[in-house]
Amino acid sequence: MLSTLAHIIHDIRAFFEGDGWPVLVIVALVLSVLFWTACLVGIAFFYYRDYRYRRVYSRIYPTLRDFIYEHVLVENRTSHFPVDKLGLDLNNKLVSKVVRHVIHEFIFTIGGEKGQSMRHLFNELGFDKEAQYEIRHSATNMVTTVRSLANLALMKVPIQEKILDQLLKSPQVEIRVAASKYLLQVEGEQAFDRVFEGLHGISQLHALDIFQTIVQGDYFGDYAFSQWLDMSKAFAVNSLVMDLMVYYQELNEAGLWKLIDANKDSKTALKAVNSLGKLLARDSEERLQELYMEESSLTAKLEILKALGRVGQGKSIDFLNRLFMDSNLPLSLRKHAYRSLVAQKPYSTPLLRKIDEQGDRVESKLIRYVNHPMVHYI
Amino acid sequence: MWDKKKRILVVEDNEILLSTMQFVLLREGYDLLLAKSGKEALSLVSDESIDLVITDLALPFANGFEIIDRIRKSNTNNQVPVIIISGYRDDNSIVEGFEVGANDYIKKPISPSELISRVRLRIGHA
Repeated sequence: MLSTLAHIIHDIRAFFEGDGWPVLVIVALVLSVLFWTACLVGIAFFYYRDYRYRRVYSRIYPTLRDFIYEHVLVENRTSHFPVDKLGLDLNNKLVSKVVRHVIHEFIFTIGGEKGQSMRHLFNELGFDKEAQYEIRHSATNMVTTVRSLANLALMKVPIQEKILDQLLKSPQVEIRVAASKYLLQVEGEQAFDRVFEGLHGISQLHALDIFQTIVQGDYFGDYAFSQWLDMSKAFAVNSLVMDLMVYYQELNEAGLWKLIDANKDSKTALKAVNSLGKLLARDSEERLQELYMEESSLTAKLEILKALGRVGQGKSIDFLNRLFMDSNLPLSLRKHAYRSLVAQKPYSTPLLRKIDEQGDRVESKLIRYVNHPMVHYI
Repeated sequence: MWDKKKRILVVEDNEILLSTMQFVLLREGYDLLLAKSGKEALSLVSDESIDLVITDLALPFANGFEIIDRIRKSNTNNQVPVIIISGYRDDNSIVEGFEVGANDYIKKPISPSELISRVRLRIGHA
Protein backbone atom coordinates (compact mmCIF):
# COMPACT_ATOMS: atom_id res chain seq x y z
CA MET A 1 0.00 0.00 0.00
CA LEU A 2 2.76 2.36 1.05
CA SER A 3 4.90 1.43 -1.90
CA THR A 4 1.99 2.18 -4.30
CA LEU A 5 1.55 5.63 -2.75
CA ALA A 6 5.27 6.29 -2.97
CA HIS A 7 5.16 5.23 -6.61
CA ILE A 8 2.34 7.69 -7.43
CA ILE A 9 4.15 10.56 -5.67
CA HIS A 10 7.29 9.71 -7.59
CA ASP A 11 5.37 9.78 -10.89
CA ILE A 12 3.89 13.18 -10.13
CA ARG A 13 7.30 14.62 -9.19
CA ALA A 14 8.85 13.13 -12.30
CA PHE A 15 6.14 14.72 -14.44
CA PHE A 16 6.73 18.21 -13.07
CA GLU A 17 10.48 17.99 -12.70
CA GLY A 18 11.46 16.27 -15.89
CA ASP A 19 9.90 13.59 -18.07
CA GLY A 20 6.40 14.76 -19.13
CA TRP A 21 6.90 18.49 -18.74
CA PRO A 22 8.54 19.50 -22.05
CA VAL A 23 5.88 17.73 -24.16
CA LEU A 24 3.08 19.41 -22.24
CA VAL A 25 4.75 22.80 -22.54
CA ILE A 26 5.28 22.39 -26.26
CA VAL A 27 1.67 21.38 -26.87
CA ALA A 28 0.42 24.29 -24.76
CA LEU A 29 2.67 26.75 -26.52
CA VAL A 30 1.66 25.57 -29.99
CA LEU A 31 -2.03 25.72 -29.10
CA SER A 32 -1.60 29.14 -27.56
CA VAL A 33 0.24 30.48 -30.61
CA LEU A 34 -2.42 29.03 -32.92
CA PHE A 35 -5.21 30.52 -30.82
CA TRP A 36 -3.70 34.03 -30.70
CA THR A 37 -2.81 33.91 -34.40
CA ALA A 38 -6.42 33.00 -35.24
CA CYS A 39 -7.65 35.85 -33.04
CA LEU A 40 -5.29 38.36 -34.64
CA VAL A 41 -6.17 37.21 -38.16
CA GLY A 42 -9.87 37.51 -37.30
CA ILE A 43 -9.44 41.02 -35.90
CA ALA A 44 -7.27 42.07 -38.86
CA PHE A 45 -9.83 40.67 -41.29
CA PHE A 46 -12.64 42.54 -39.49
CA TYR A 47 -10.73 45.83 -39.61
CA TYR A 48 -9.75 45.27 -43.25
CA ARG A 49 -13.40 44.72 -44.24
CA ASP A 50 -14.42 47.78 -42.27
CA TYR A 51 -11.62 49.81 -43.86
CA ARG A 52 -12.67 48.72 -47.39
CA TYR A 53 -16.30 49.52 -46.64
CA ARG A 54 -15.42 52.98 -45.33
CA ARG A 55 -13.18 53.69 -48.31
CA VAL A 56 -15.88 52.76 -50.79
CA TYR A 57 -18.50 54.60 -48.71
CA SER A 58 -16.47 57.83 -48.66
CA ARG A 59 -16.10 57.59 -52.46
CA ILE A 60 -19.73 56.77 -53.24
CA TYR A 61 -21.63 58.77 -50.62
CA PRO A 62 -20.93 62.29 -52.03
CA THR A 63 -21.79 61.19 -55.59
CA LEU A 64 -25.00 59.49 -54.54
CA ARG A 65 -25.99 62.31 -52.18
CA ASP A 66 -25.54 64.95 -54.91
CA PHE A 67 -27.47 62.74 -57.35
CA ILE A 68 -30.36 62.45 -54.89
CA TYR A 69 -30.37 66.18 -54.13
CA GLU A 70 -30.28 67.08 -57.80
CA HIS A 71 -32.89 64.68 -59.10
CA VAL A 72 -35.17 64.07 -56.11
CA LEU A 73 -35.09 67.38 -54.24
CA VAL A 74 -34.45 69.89 -57.02
CA GLU A 75 -35.94 68.36 -60.16
CA ASN A 76 -38.70 66.63 -58.19
CA ARG A 77 -38.38 63.47 -60.26
CA THR A 78 -40.46 60.55 -59.10
CA SER A 79 -39.20 58.02 -61.62
CA HIS A 80 -36.95 57.57 -64.67
CA PHE A 81 -33.82 58.60 -62.84
CA PRO A 82 -30.68 58.87 -65.01
CA VAL A 83 -28.94 56.16 -63.00
CA ASP A 84 -26.31 55.66 -65.75
CA LYS A 85 -24.88 59.05 -64.81
CA LEU A 86 -23.87 57.66 -61.44
CA GLY A 87 -21.27 55.46 -63.12
CA LEU A 88 -21.35 52.89 -60.35
CA ASP A 89 -20.34 49.28 -60.83
CA LEU A 90 -23.29 47.66 -59.12
CA ASN A 91 -22.01 44.20 -60.02
CA ASN A 92 -19.34 44.78 -57.42
CA LYS A 93 -20.81 43.37 -54.20
CA LEU A 94 -19.24 45.97 -51.94
CA VAL A 95 -20.36 48.89 -54.11
CA SER A 96 -23.85 47.44 -54.28
CA LYS A 97 -23.92 47.01 -50.47
CA VAL A 98 -22.80 50.60 -49.86
CA VAL A 99 -25.33 52.05 -52.34
CA ARG A 100 -28.09 50.02 -50.69
CA HIS A 101 -27.10 51.25 -47.24
CA VAL A 102 -26.94 54.90 -48.32
CA ILE A 103 -30.36 54.75 -49.97
CA HIS A 104 -31.81 52.99 -46.91
CA GLU A 105 -30.46 55.82 -44.77
CA PHE A 106 -32.07 58.39 -47.05
CA ILE A 107 -35.39 56.55 -46.99
CA PHE A 108 -35.34 56.50 -43.18
CA THR A 109 -34.49 60.23 -43.20
CA ILE A 110 -36.66 61.70 -45.94
CA GLY A 111 -40.38 61.10 -45.80
CA GLY A 112 -43.44 62.16 -47.76
CA GLU A 113 -43.44 62.16 -51.56
CA LYS A 114 -39.67 62.47 -51.69
CA GLY A 115 -39.37 59.30 -49.64
CA GLN A 116 -41.55 57.55 -52.20
CA SER A 117 -39.28 58.83 -54.98
CA MET A 118 -36.31 57.37 -53.08
CA ARG A 119 -38.05 53.99 -53.15
CA HIS A 120 -38.46 54.27 -56.91
CA LEU A 121 -34.78 55.13 -57.24
CA PHE A 122 -33.90 52.03 -55.23
CA ASN A 123 -35.94 49.92 -57.62
CA GLU A 124 -34.54 51.59 -60.73
CA LEU A 125 -31.05 50.74 -59.54
CA GLY A 126 -32.17 47.12 -59.79
CA PHE A 127 -32.12 46.26 -56.10
CA ASP A 128 -35.70 45.06 -56.15
CA LYS A 129 -34.81 42.55 -58.86
CA GLU A 130 -31.73 41.47 -56.94
CA ALA A 131 -33.77 40.90 -53.77
CA GLN A 132 -36.45 39.06 -55.80
CA TYR A 133 -33.71 36.89 -57.31
CA GLU A 134 -32.26 36.15 -53.89
CA ILE A 135 -35.54 35.03 -52.38
CA ARG A 136 -36.13 32.75 -55.37
CA HIS A 137 -32.68 31.23 -55.52
CA SER A 138 -31.39 31.43 -51.96
CA ALA A 139 -34.50 30.14 -50.24
CA THR A 140 -32.36 27.83 -48.12
CA ASN A 141 -29.94 30.58 -47.12
CA MET A 142 -31.69 32.08 -44.14
CA VAL A 143 -29.63 35.26 -43.78
CA THR A 144 -29.89 36.23 -47.47
CA THR A 145 -33.61 35.51 -47.63
CA VAL A 146 -34.42 37.44 -44.45
CA ARG A 147 -32.35 40.42 -45.65
CA SER A 148 -34.00 40.39 -49.07
CA LEU A 149 -37.47 40.22 -47.56
CA ALA A 150 -36.66 43.19 -45.32
CA ASN A 151 -35.43 45.13 -48.37
CA LEU A 152 -38.54 44.34 -50.39
CA ALA A 153 -40.78 45.26 -47.46
CA LEU A 154 -39.02 48.59 -47.06
CA MET A 155 -39.48 49.36 -50.74
CA LYS A 156 -43.03 47.94 -50.78
CA VAL A 157 -42.16 45.74 -53.75
CA PRO A 158 -44.71 42.97 -54.47
CA ILE A 159 -43.51 39.37 -54.47
CA GLN A 160 -44.94 36.69 -56.71
CA GLU A 161 -47.71 34.85 -54.84
CA LYS A 162 -46.23 31.39 -55.34
CA ILE A 163 -42.84 32.42 -53.94
CA LEU A 164 -44.41 34.20 -50.98
CA ASP A 165 -46.46 31.13 -50.18
CA GLN A 166 -43.32 28.99 -50.19
CA LEU A 167 -41.58 31.42 -47.84
CA LEU A 168 -44.55 31.47 -45.47
CA LYS A 169 -44.40 27.68 -45.34
CA SER A 170 -40.62 27.47 -45.06
CA PRO A 171 -39.28 24.91 -42.57
CA GLN A 172 -37.05 27.65 -41.12
CA VAL A 173 -38.92 29.73 -38.57
CA GLU A 174 -36.78 32.88 -39.22
CA ILE A 175 -37.86 32.85 -42.88
CA ARG A 176 -41.53 32.32 -41.96
CA VAL A 177 -41.36 35.26 -39.53
CA ALA A 178 -39.56 37.49 -42.09
CA ALA A 179 -42.20 36.61 -44.71
CA SER A 180 -44.97 37.39 -42.20
CA LYS A 181 -43.37 40.75 -41.40
CA TYR A 182 -43.06 41.46 -45.14
CA LEU A 183 -46.76 40.75 -45.61
CA LEU A 184 -47.74 42.92 -42.64
CA GLN A 185 -45.61 45.83 -43.84
CA VAL A 186 -46.77 45.65 -47.45
CA GLU A 187 -50.40 44.60 -47.12
CA GLY A 188 -51.19 45.78 -43.57
CA GLU A 189 -54.52 44.62 -42.20
CA GLN A 190 -55.26 42.52 -45.30
CA ALA A 191 -52.48 40.15 -44.27
CA PHE A 192 -53.68 39.39 -40.73
CA ASP A 193 -55.57 36.17 -41.56
CA ARG A 194 -52.76 34.77 -43.62
CA VAL A 195 -50.08 35.64 -41.06
CA PHE A 196 -51.94 34.20 -38.06
CA GLU A 197 -52.86 31.05 -39.95
CA GLY A 198 -49.19 30.30 -40.52
CA LEU A 199 -47.94 31.12 -37.03
CA HIS A 200 -46.37 28.10 -35.39
CA GLY A 201 -43.07 27.24 -33.81
CA ILE A 202 -42.21 30.85 -33.06
CA SER A 203 -40.27 32.00 -30.02
CA GLN A 204 -41.26 34.87 -27.75
CA LEU A 205 -38.73 37.10 -29.51
CA HIS A 206 -40.36 36.34 -32.86
CA ALA A 207 -43.74 37.10 -31.29
CA LEU A 208 -42.45 40.45 -30.06
CA ASP A 209 -41.06 41.19 -33.53
CA ILE A 210 -44.45 40.51 -35.14
CA PHE A 211 -46.28 42.48 -32.43
CA GLN A 212 -44.08 45.52 -33.08
CA THR A 213 -44.53 45.24 -36.84
CA ILE A 214 -48.32 45.31 -36.39
CA VAL A 215 -48.49 48.15 -33.88
CA GLN A 216 -46.01 50.29 -35.83
CA GLY A 217 -48.29 50.13 -38.85
CA ASP A 218 -51.23 52.42 -39.35
CA TYR A 219 -53.80 49.82 -38.31
CA PHE A 220 -56.63 51.12 -36.09
CA GLY A 221 -59.46 48.82 -37.15
CA ASP A 222 -61.57 46.28 -35.33
CA TYR A 223 -60.00 43.01 -36.39
CA ALA A 224 -60.87 40.12 -34.05
CA PHE A 225 -57.42 38.91 -32.97
CA SER A 226 -59.07 36.70 -30.35
CA GLN A 227 -60.24 34.28 -33.06
CA TRP A 228 -56.63 33.03 -33.11
CA LEU A 229 -56.53 32.09 -29.43
CA ASP A 230 -55.91 28.38 -29.53
CA MET A 231 -55.22 26.21 -26.51
CA SER A 232 -53.37 23.69 -28.65
CA LYS A 233 -50.83 26.31 -29.74
CA ALA A 234 -47.65 27.32 -27.97
CA PHE A 235 -47.43 30.07 -25.36
CA ALA A 236 -45.64 32.49 -27.76
CA VAL A 237 -48.53 32.44 -30.25
CA ASN A 238 -51.26 32.88 -27.63
CA SER A 239 -49.19 35.50 -25.85
CA LEU A 240 -48.85 37.49 -29.10
CA VAL A 241 -52.61 37.32 -29.66
CA MET A 242 -53.34 38.42 -26.09
CA ASP A 243 -50.85 41.31 -26.33
CA LEU A 244 -52.62 42.49 -29.48
CA MET A 245 -56.03 42.11 -27.81
CA VAL A 246 -54.84 44.30 -24.94
CA TYR A 247 -53.16 46.83 -27.26
CA TYR A 248 -56.29 47.22 -29.40
CA GLN A 249 -58.65 46.75 -26.42
CA GLU A 250 -60.49 43.78 -27.88
CA LEU A 251 -62.34 42.13 -25.01
CA ASN A 252 -63.31 38.51 -25.53
CA GLU A 253 -63.87 37.05 -22.08
CA ALA A 254 -65.15 33.69 -23.33
CA GLY A 255 -62.04 33.15 -25.44
CA LEU A 256 -59.70 33.99 -22.57
CA TRP A 257 -61.62 31.78 -20.12
CA LYS A 258 -61.33 28.86 -22.53
CA LEU A 259 -57.55 29.26 -22.38
CA ILE A 260 -57.60 29.51 -18.57
CA ASP A 261 -59.78 26.42 -18.16
CA ALA A 262 -57.64 24.41 -20.54
CA ASN A 263 -54.25 25.42 -19.19
CA LYS A 264 -54.70 25.99 -15.45
CA ASP A 265 -51.43 26.91 -13.71
CA SER A 266 -49.60 27.36 -16.99
CA LYS A 267 -47.92 30.51 -18.33
CA THR A 268 -50.72 30.83 -20.89
CA ALA A 269 -53.42 30.79 -18.20
CA LEU A 270 -51.56 33.41 -16.13
CA LYS A 271 -51.25 35.64 -19.17
CA ALA A 272 -54.96 35.18 -19.89
CA VAL A 273 -55.82 36.24 -16.31
CA ASN A 274 -53.52 39.23 -16.71
CA SER A 275 -55.22 40.15 -19.99
CA LEU A 276 -58.68 39.92 -18.37
CA GLY A 277 -57.52 42.53 -15.87
CA LYS A 278 -56.00 44.80 -18.48
CA LEU A 279 -59.11 44.52 -20.64
CA LEU A 280 -61.31 45.47 -17.66
CA ALA A 281 -63.38 42.31 -17.97
CA ARG A 282 -66.22 43.30 -15.62
CA ASP A 283 -68.22 40.12 -16.09
CA SER A 284 -65.27 38.00 -14.98
CA GLU A 285 -64.92 39.30 -11.42
CA GLU A 286 -66.90 36.51 -9.77
CA ARG A 287 -65.27 33.84 -11.88
CA LEU A 288 -61.85 35.20 -10.98
CA GLN A 289 -62.76 34.91 -7.29
CA GLU A 290 -63.82 31.30 -7.81
CA LEU A 291 -60.61 30.60 -9.65
CA TYR A 292 -58.66 32.08 -6.76
CA MET A 293 -60.27 29.62 -4.37
CA GLU A 294 -59.53 26.68 -6.66
CA GLU A 295 -55.92 27.64 -7.33
CA SER A 296 -53.12 26.41 -5.13
CA SER A 297 -50.20 28.19 -6.79
CA LEU A 298 -49.09 31.45 -5.16
CA THR A 299 -48.11 33.00 -8.52
CA ALA A 300 -51.55 32.30 -9.97
CA LYS A 301 -53.27 33.71 -6.86
CA LEU A 302 -51.19 36.91 -7.11
CA GLU A 303 -52.06 37.29 -10.79
CA ILE A 304 -55.76 36.89 -10.01
CA LEU A 305 -55.59 39.52 -7.24
CA LYS A 306 -53.89 41.96 -9.62
CA ALA A 307 -56.55 41.31 -12.25
CA LEU A 308 -59.31 41.98 -9.71
CA GLY A 309 -57.65 45.28 -8.84
CA ARG A 310 -57.37 46.27 -12.48
CA VAL A 311 -61.00 45.47 -13.27
CA GLY A 312 -61.86 47.57 -10.21
CA GLN A 313 -65.67 47.77 -10.38
CA GLY A 314 -66.25 47.24 -6.65
CA LYS A 315 -67.77 43.76 -6.93
CA SER A 316 -64.82 42.08 -5.24
CA ILE A 317 -64.34 44.48 -2.32
CA ASP A 318 -65.62 42.06 0.35
CA PHE A 319 -63.57 39.23 -1.08
CA LEU A 320 -60.38 41.30 -1.11
CA ASN A 321 -61.06 42.61 2.38
CA ARG A 322 -61.43 39.07 3.74
CA LEU A 323 -58.09 38.14 2.22
CA PHE A 324 -56.37 41.22 3.59
CA MET A 325 -57.68 40.56 7.09
CA ASP A 326 -56.73 36.87 7.05
CA SER A 327 -53.57 36.73 9.15
CA ASN A 328 -52.94 33.11 8.11
CA LEU A 329 -52.28 34.11 4.51
CA PRO A 330 -48.79 34.86 3.18
CA LEU A 331 -47.91 38.57 3.40
CA SER A 332 -47.49 38.88 -0.38
CA LEU A 333 -51.13 37.86 -0.91
CA ARG A 334 -52.36 40.25 1.79
CA LYS A 335 -50.33 43.11 0.31
CA HIS A 336 -51.76 42.52 -3.16
CA ALA A 337 -55.27 42.18 -1.77
CA TYR A 338 -54.89 45.60 -0.13
CA ARG A 339 -53.35 47.11 -3.26
CA SER A 340 -56.28 45.85 -5.31
CA LEU A 341 -58.65 47.37 -2.77
CA VAL A 342 -56.90 50.70 -3.26
CA ALA A 343 -57.28 50.25 -7.02
CA GLN A 344 -61.06 49.92 -6.52
CA LYS A 345 -61.47 53.50 -5.31
CA PRO A 346 -63.91 55.22 -5.03
CA TYR A 347 -66.03 52.08 -4.38
CA SER A 348 -63.63 50.98 -1.66
CA THR A 349 -62.97 54.37 -0.04
CA PRO A 350 -65.22 53.87 3.08
CA LEU A 351 -63.73 50.44 3.70
CA LEU A 352 -60.17 51.69 3.31
CA ARG A 353 -60.86 54.44 5.81
CA LYS A 354 -62.25 51.88 8.26
CA ILE A 355 -59.25 49.58 7.83
CA ASP A 356 -56.95 52.52 8.38
CA GLU A 357 -58.64 53.44 11.64
CA GLN A 358 -59.14 49.95 13.05
CA GLY A 359 -56.22 47.94 11.67
CA ASP A 360 -53.75 46.38 14.09
CA ARG A 361 -49.99 46.86 14.01
CA VAL A 362 -49.29 44.29 11.30
CA GLU A 363 -52.01 45.66 9.03
CA SER A 364 -50.81 49.23 9.52
CA LYS A 365 -47.30 48.16 8.54
CA LEU A 366 -48.67 46.43 5.45
CA ILE A 367 -50.65 49.51 4.48
CA ARG A 368 -47.63 51.75 4.92
CA TYR A 369 -45.60 49.40 2.76
CA VAL A 370 -48.21 49.21 -0.03
CA ASN A 371 -48.78 52.97 -0.03
CA HIS A 372 -45.09 53.82 -0.11
CA PRO A 373 -44.35 55.74 -3.33
CA MET A 374 -41.30 53.58 -4.05
CA VAL A 375 -43.38 50.37 -4.11
CA HIS A 376 -44.62 49.66 -7.58
CA TYR A 377 -47.63 47.57 -8.36
CA ILE A 378 -46.72 45.55 -11.40
CA MET B 1 -28.91 98.25 -47.41
CA TRP B 2 -29.63 94.55 -47.82
CA ASP B 3 -31.83 92.79 -45.30
CA LYS B 4 -29.87 90.51 -43.03
CA LYS B 5 -30.50 86.83 -43.79
CA LYS B 6 -32.42 84.86 -41.15
CA ARG B 7 -30.05 82.56 -39.31
CA ILE B 8 -31.00 79.01 -38.27
CA LEU B 9 -29.06 76.75 -35.93
CA VAL B 10 -29.47 73.09 -36.95
CA VAL B 11 -28.46 70.53 -34.32
CA GLU B 12 -28.36 66.98 -35.65
CA ASP B 13 -25.86 64.14 -35.29
CA ASN B 14 -27.06 62.12 -38.28
CA GLU B 15 -24.82 63.11 -41.18
CA ILE B 16 -27.44 62.40 -43.87
CA LEU B 17 -30.24 64.32 -42.18
CA LEU B 18 -27.94 67.21 -41.34
CA SER B 19 -26.69 67.56 -44.91
CA THR B 20 -30.24 67.20 -46.30
CA MET B 21 -31.56 69.96 -44.04
CA GLN B 22 -28.52 72.06 -44.91
CA PHE B 23 -29.22 71.61 -48.62
CA VAL B 24 -32.93 72.31 -48.32
CA LEU B 25 -32.61 75.38 -46.08
CA LEU B 26 -29.67 76.92 -47.96
CA ARG B 27 -31.71 76.66 -51.17
CA GLU B 28 -34.42 78.66 -49.46
CA GLY B 29 -31.83 81.35 -48.71
CA TYR B 30 -31.42 80.96 -44.95
CA ASP B 31 -28.09 81.40 -43.24
CA LEU B 32 -27.12 78.27 -41.31
CA LEU B 33 -25.11 77.28 -38.27
CA LEU B 34 -24.55 73.55 -37.89
CA ALA B 35 -23.86 71.56 -34.74
CA LYS B 36 -23.45 67.82 -34.34
CA SER B 37 -23.65 67.67 -30.55
CA GLY B 38 -25.43 69.36 -27.68
CA LYS B 39 -22.16 70.87 -26.47
CA GLU B 40 -21.45 72.56 -29.83
CA ALA B 41 -25.04 73.80 -30.00
CA LEU B 42 -24.93 75.38 -26.55
CA SER B 43 -21.71 77.25 -27.28
CA LEU B 44 -23.20 78.59 -30.55
CA VAL B 45 -26.38 79.66 -28.79
CA SER B 46 -24.43 81.70 -26.26
CA ASP B 47 -22.09 83.31 -28.84
CA GLU B 48 -24.19 83.91 -31.94
CA SER B 49 -27.35 85.72 -32.87
CA ILE B 50 -29.94 83.13 -33.99
CA ASP B 51 -33.49 83.39 -35.39
CA LEU B 52 -34.53 79.74 -35.13
CA VAL B 53 -33.22 76.49 -33.66
CA ILE B 54 -33.97 73.11 -35.22
CA THR B 55 -32.83 70.30 -32.96
CA ASP B 56 -32.89 66.54 -32.71
CA LEU B 57 -33.61 64.98 -29.31
CA ALA B 58 -31.10 62.14 -29.12
CA LEU B 59 -27.74 63.91 -29.22
CA PRO B 60 -24.32 63.31 -27.72
CA PHE B 61 -23.26 65.32 -24.60
CA ALA B 62 -26.60 67.13 -24.08
CA ASN B 63 -29.94 65.95 -25.41
CA GLY B 64 -32.50 68.14 -27.18
CA PHE B 65 -34.57 68.73 -24.02
CA GLU B 66 -31.50 70.00 -22.18
CA ILE B 67 -30.58 72.27 -25.09
CA ILE B 68 -34.05 73.86 -25.16
CA ASP B 69 -34.10 74.19 -21.39
CA ARG B 70 -30.68 75.93 -21.41
CA ILE B 71 -31.77 78.21 -24.28
CA ARG B 72 -34.91 79.26 -22.39
CA LYS B 73 -32.90 79.97 -19.22
CA SER B 74 -30.06 81.81 -20.99
CA ASN B 75 -29.65 85.57 -21.26
CA THR B 76 -29.19 85.59 -25.04
CA ASN B 77 -31.55 84.01 -27.57
CA ASN B 78 -34.01 82.90 -24.87
CA GLN B 79 -37.01 83.90 -27.00
CA VAL B 80 -35.81 82.11 -30.13
CA PRO B 81 -38.37 79.68 -31.65
CA VAL B 82 -37.36 76.02 -31.45
CA ILE B 83 -38.47 73.15 -33.70
CA ILE B 84 -37.78 69.59 -32.57
CA ILE B 85 -37.10 66.95 -35.22
CA SER B 86 -37.13 63.50 -33.72
CA GLY B 87 -37.64 59.82 -34.35
CA TYR B 88 -39.43 59.55 -30.98
CA ARG B 89 -43.08 59.25 -31.89
CA ASP B 90 -44.54 58.70 -28.42
CA ASP B 91 -46.81 61.21 -26.70
CA ASN B 92 -44.47 61.63 -23.72
CA SER B 93 -41.59 62.92 -25.85
CA ILE B 94 -43.86 65.32 -27.73
CA VAL B 95 -45.46 66.65 -24.53
CA GLU B 96 -42.09 66.95 -22.77
CA GLY B 97 -40.72 68.81 -25.81
CA PHE B 98 -43.48 71.41 -25.61
CA GLU B 99 -43.18 71.60 -21.82
CA VAL B 100 -39.50 72.52 -21.93
CA GLY B 101 -40.33 75.26 -24.43
CA ALA B 102 -40.30 73.93 -27.99
CA ASN B 103 -42.60 75.66 -30.47
CA ASP B 104 -43.05 72.79 -32.91
CA TYR B 105 -42.38 69.04 -33.24
CA ILE B 106 -41.68 67.21 -36.50
CA LYS B 107 -41.50 63.42 -36.58
CA LYS B 108 -38.86 61.65 -38.67
CA PRO B 109 -38.70 60.84 -41.54
CA ILE B 110 -39.07 64.48 -42.52
CA SER B 111 -40.69 65.81 -45.63
CA PRO B 112 -38.52 68.66 -47.00
CA SER B 113 -41.53 70.73 -48.08
CA GLU B 114 -43.14 70.33 -44.65
CA LEU B 115 -39.90 71.42 -42.99
CA ILE B 116 -39.72 74.57 -45.13
CA SER B 117 -43.32 75.53 -44.47
CA ARG B 118 -42.92 75.07 -40.71
CA VAL B 119 -39.73 77.15 -40.73
CA ARG B 120 -41.50 79.89 -42.70
CA LEU B 121 -44.38 79.79 -40.24
CA ARG B 122 -41.97 80.58 -37.40
CA ILE B 123 -39.58 83.10 -38.95
CA GLY B 124 -40.96 83.92 -42.39
CA HIS B 125 -39.02 83.85 -45.65
CA ALA B 126 -35.26 84.14 -45.65
